[in-house]
Amino acid sequence: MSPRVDPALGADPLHVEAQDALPWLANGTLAGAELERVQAHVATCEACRADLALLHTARAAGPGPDLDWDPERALARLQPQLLSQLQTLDGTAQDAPALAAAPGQPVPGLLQRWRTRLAANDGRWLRVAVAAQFCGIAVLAALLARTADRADAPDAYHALGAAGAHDAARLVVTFRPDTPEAELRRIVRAGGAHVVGGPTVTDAWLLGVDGDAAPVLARLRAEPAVTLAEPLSAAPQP
Amino acid sequence: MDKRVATAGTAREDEAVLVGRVAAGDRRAFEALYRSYFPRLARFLQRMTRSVPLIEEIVNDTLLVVWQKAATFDGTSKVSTWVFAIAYRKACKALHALDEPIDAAADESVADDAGRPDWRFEQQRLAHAVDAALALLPLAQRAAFQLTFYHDMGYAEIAEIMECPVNTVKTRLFHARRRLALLLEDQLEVRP
Repeated sequence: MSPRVDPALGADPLHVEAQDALPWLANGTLAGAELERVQAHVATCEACRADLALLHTARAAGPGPDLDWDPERALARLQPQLLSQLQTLDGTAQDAPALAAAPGQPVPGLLQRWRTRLAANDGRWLRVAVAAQFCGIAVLAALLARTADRADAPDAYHALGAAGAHDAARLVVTFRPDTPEAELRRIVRAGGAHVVGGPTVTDAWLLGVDGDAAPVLARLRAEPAVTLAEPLSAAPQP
Repeated sequence: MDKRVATAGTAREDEAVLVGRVAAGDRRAFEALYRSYFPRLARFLQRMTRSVPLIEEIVNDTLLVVWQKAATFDGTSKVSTWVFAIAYRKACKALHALDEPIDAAADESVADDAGRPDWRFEQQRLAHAVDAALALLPLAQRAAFQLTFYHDMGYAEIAEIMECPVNTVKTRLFHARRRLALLLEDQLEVRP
């Protein structure tokens, strides 16, 4: 193979350029004006043609036989690292699809694929399961908060003994023990009041009054069946 | 020629799309890229080391970087240039940039070819002769030779991969083929 500066040709710039470019003339990647110049020189230069022929021969000899490296074996070794990368990502990585079957290998059956997917060490479905659990807990928490809010609503149920009921009571009334219930209701309605609680352990009834309580109190006291009718507010105790 | 250029352009776009999907964390796209590049990288690396586990490890390291850094690929170069540049750096690092000749083991399988047709045997003989001669070259010359003749890359692309000026690539190739010519003088007959 000739040196770039052929003693016979001297430092012919075209020869030097062609010598430098011969490998890429041989592999077909030369282009444009450079290709034209080099081809024109090679056509007239015996030394360059001999070098080019040797390069074609070396190229045709090929890269030699492959060693027994195995892409699938190597990929299998890489998978754990890929998985750990996915798990440490900030969650932007999408859920990876099932591994594609290796070329030349039988495609695993549906059952086998699901077994693989459900394997306890498969981070893909574990991540989905954790996300689903989180959503479930969030929904339950929201429902609980909503229920608590409703307890404060005006239409909520109140027990008679609850503080709210007592807050509405303004009068306390007792009746003769033999007073029928129908007569009791008539007296309360006629007096302009309504029952908000009772009977208590002393057979007293708590009445609510809209507006002024004094005339209501007077009407109740006028009823023979009423044995006691007193206001619940800051009334002086006897 | 136009058809060849168009096909190469399409393949280049397909690979760029694949890298885009890898950047989005698509493992299926990564596996497609992996299977496409593994043989090319392994053939490149087997000129630097004969250790199959080491070749597979360097390829894995290379493609793991592709997986991690796919989002940084900006498309200004070809995907192959980017991937081979990573592989070359990884190989140099793994081999501690030693220029130790590799154990060619070229004669081991010659006897197995005895029963093959003459042309096949001759092809094998040439391949082994070139293999053995290449093994004696410094690593940088060997890499430049391979990328030129067995991966059909232009000098600008090789310069990008090896992170050196174009003239350095040309000089390496010049010295490589000069030494090869001497080493193959008695074994290689020029085919016109």
